[in-house]
Amino acid sequence: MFRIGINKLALIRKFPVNPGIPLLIVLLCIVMAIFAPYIAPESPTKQSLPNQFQEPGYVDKDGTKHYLGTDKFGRDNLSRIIYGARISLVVAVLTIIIAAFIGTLLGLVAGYYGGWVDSLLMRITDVGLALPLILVALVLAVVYGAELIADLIPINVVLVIGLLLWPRFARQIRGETLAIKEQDYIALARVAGCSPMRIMIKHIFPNVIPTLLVLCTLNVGYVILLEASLSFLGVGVPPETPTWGLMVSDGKGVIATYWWISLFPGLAIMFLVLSLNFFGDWVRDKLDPKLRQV
Amino acid sequence: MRRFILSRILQAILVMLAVSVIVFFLGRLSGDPTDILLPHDASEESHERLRDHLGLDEPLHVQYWIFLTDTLQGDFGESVKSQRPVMELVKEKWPATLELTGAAIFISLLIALPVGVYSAVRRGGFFDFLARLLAVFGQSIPSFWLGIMLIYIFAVPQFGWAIFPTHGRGEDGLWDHIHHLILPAFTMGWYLSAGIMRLTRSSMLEVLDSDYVKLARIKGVPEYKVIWKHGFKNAALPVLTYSVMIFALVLGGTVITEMVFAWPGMGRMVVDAVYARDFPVVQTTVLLLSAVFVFANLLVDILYSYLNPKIRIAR
Repeated sequence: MFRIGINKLALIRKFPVNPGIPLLIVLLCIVMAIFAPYIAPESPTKQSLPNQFQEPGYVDKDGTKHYLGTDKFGRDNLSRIIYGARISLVVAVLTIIIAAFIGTLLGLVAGYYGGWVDSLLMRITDVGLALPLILVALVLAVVYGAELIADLIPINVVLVIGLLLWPRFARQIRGETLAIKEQDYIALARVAGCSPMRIMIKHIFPNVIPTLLVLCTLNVGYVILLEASLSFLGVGVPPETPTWGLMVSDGKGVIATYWWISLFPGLAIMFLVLSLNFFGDWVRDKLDPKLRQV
Repeated sequence: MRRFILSRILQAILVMLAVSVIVFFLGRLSGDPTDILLPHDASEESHERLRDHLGLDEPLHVQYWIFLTDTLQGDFGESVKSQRPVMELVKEKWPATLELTGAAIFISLLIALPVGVYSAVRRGGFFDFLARLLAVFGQSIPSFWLGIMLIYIFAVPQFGWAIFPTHGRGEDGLWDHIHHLILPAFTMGWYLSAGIMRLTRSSMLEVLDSDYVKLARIKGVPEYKVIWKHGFKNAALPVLTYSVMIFALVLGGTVITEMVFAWPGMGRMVVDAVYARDFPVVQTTVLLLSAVFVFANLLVDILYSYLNPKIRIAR
């Protein structure tokens, strides 16, 4: 089932591009996220009533320049965007780790053992793929509420996306494993008395790492869009948290007059995801010639 | 052949059963549903009565069995909020979502097919470069933001042209319908067109490389005829099947677009239901969307096995 999976389609793209600029943008976001308190001109949650809805470039009474304007609570847009990179990146990294771990584990086991184990695991994967992802994520995020660990990790969003994303990994890793399993060196390892566990970890896993890396880079952008969509819908993070999705949503109602509130965080999402997608294409071309299409 | 189809159908049924289990538990995640259904100051007695009424006293597996048999008989329960049968609500909202999704796919095909075909024909050229740039952009722009920006540019009067309505679905006549549809459909279609374009391109490249296309060229068939008749006609099948699959898939993805444009469809209904913890509505929607997806996959699988016997043997 699901032969023309979404994963396969995501892989049908090739872009001969210099990874320099995309990589630079990604690095910039990472630096922004890590050093946010030092870079941001103001605290992202500092409210100030006289500064409500000020245009980009506005200088307030204290002489602080608001390069990207302020929102309805007078909070500095630029500072919020800089802090917003934190949530996006933390969610992206953690969910990808969860999804990659579960997906690789199940993919390896399914591919190596075959038979009923394979059938069972692949049917579970089918179920995961059949569920409308954003809807289930929405329900779970609403039910479990918004909880931030250490002001940084929206744990429910991470768990929800991670647990819904692994089928994409499992399917691909299983396919790789099936092919690798037939190689002579695996047969030799078996003859030499290696346990299945050892074969999977020592002999098969290293060979699926390129595919795994490609899958990770190609899915990171998707996860960031997903996280932004969820926070746009107002779930998963407390309402005052600076996240890009939430900021776009804040500006939605007042777009006719205060366009800058939605515009800039949206641009931030777009540039980051765009860079990740370009970079993902480049990684794939480098690591996995098999996935290259004409 | 028959065995192949039967086993596929069996698999689809198993998947749907598992989905139904998940959906069943989705409705019970928040603990005791009566906490949500009743006002805060309700007495323990009324809690007890409601639990009894909803059958929550039964053991879980009995509850699931009741849920499953009811669902199979077409009884999806009642909305907690509006006290109306869920199926009635779905029937009311379904057409709007179908309309939006259909229009979105139409727009994405309108963009993706010509661009995909010509970028394959002009492979490696400037147009190809632009087209592939477009595809990466398509998958990188958050659709909720694109929607808001389109509203800002085309629906708000600050530039002197507010040519489209900001929200809602048209009510009087075909033109009003289309007028309201364009922005939301483009918002969704833009994202979808990236995938379709890539597939069209790679599928076209394969066909253009084939012997019969070369022969047609040697025979002196005009180029447009080579491209559209010999080329595209043969490259279209995977693209069309993919569009069918997308159709099933994006029915769930309308949530965001419907929220941005206040589109009165299933997506908005389900988000409202989620916030109100109206679980019968949420459960039914998730179940229906999964069913559509599984069914579309089954259809594509069977169709493919008819068209390409190799798949049957390989499995």
